[in-house]
Amino acid sequence: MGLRYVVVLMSGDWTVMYFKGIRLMQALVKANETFDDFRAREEKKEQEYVKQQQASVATGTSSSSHVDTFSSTSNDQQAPDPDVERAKEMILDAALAFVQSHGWSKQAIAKGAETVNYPSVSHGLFPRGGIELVHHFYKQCNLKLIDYLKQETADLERVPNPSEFARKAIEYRLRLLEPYLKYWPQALGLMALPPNAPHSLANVLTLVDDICYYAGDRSVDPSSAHKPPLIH
Amino acid sequence: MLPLRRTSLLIHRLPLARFSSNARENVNQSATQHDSDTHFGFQTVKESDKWKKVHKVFEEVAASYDLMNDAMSMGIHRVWKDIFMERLSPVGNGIRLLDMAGGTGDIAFRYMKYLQKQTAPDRKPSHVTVCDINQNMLDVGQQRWEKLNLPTAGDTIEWVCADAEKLPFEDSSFSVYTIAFGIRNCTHIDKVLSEAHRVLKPGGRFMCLEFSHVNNEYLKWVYDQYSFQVIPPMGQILANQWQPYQYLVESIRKFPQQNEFKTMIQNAGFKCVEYENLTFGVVAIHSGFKL
Repeated sequence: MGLRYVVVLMSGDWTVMYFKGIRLMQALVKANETFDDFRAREEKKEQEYVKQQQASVATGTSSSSHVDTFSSTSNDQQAPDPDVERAKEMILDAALAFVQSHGWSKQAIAKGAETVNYPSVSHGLFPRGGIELVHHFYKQCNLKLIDYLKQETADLERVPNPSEFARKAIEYRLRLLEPYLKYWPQALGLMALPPNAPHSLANVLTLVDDICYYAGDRSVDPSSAHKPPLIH
Repeated sequence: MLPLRRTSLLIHRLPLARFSSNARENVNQSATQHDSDTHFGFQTVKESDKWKKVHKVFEEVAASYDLMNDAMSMGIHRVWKDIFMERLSPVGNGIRLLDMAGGTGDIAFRYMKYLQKQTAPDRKPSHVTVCDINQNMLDVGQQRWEKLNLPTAGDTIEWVCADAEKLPFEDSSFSVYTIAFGIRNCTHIDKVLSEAHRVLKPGGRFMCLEFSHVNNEYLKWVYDQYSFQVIPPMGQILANQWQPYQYLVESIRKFPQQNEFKTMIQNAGFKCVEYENLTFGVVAIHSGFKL
């Protein structure tokens, strides 16, 4: 009843808005009922996609037959080459060991490349330099966190205390930074630079979203986004 | 005496004339079987002749090569080469660079200077091999190196005269292959690329700095006017050579476009091939990895 009156007062044309108001309320009610269904549908889609990716990697021929590598405008519409991706992962993983001595820089990447028997000039695979190492590390930490959260919520129907859960998750995530604390301010600075900020922001939001999700918040509605800023 | 000499000259000349018109000379045909036409600037020449003509061009310009580079590009070629070296960033140990068509040594010297700026005391020494098909260019390069007198802290430099299409080096013996302003002079670019792929180690980088095609129509017009109306006369005045510089500006037009060249590099087996235009496409840096 109340919504109808509000809508009428806001416009002038009370006949049209009266009926539109009813429709809007019905749509909202319907939407609330299917939020959980929507989430379930999305999760199923994600699992199917992962299975499909694994199947194509197993057959090995589908994506590597059209090895079209990255264009210079970085509008990368072709499938990334698995050999190249593997090499890049190897180099970045090895480079993390040198962050404590060289910081988040192309020197660290070059040293990492040398330890996996690639010439040090293959740091050129990462033209933006140290920030690529930072993003790689951040992604790795996020994945470790997800594994931890999955473990913690494995036997639980519902998380008993979401804010305590979030606190523990954040603590775990922060402790992953311990070996790199000395140069972490440099990483934060690199992430804040304008060319890198969008990707860094995406990483942070993914992290926050994951924590919220495992803590039990299943809403898709952005108006209930009060929790993520609190985690920030 | 004289009549004999004249007839001997005639004897030498006639066979050549006969071979060119005689289709049943299969023995000689097999040697020239693949001798199709190619471009030498805007002229059409036989493939077997192209390298000779290019060789002559560079013999003539070797002495004034650097002066002409400065004059024609108004010094910007130094910036291009500095950017090129910065893109490569040879940090690390034991890097072996092959600078093909390295001639007068601009890239090799920048590489050595970059290495000297590395502060790590336990750095393993790196090496550069400057390779060129033309000995005159290498001689000029060696003189410049001696004049430069750079302290090298264990890094070594070597000067080799060889053809880019048939390199006298072993497989997987270099970590970087660079070719700056040289590949458009080669007769078979695909052979050069496959040789580059052969001599590079896995993970090694191929980098090419070359004149390319300007993407903006109006700038292209300005660039064309400058190339054809200013550069050959400048060559005549400064170096007393018109033809080599006419060839130079024509050969730039004949070189494939950025994307086409990128495809050629990919076809040679390189991955992560990218290009970067400098000065609106006047020059482009192409880079690929052997992975």
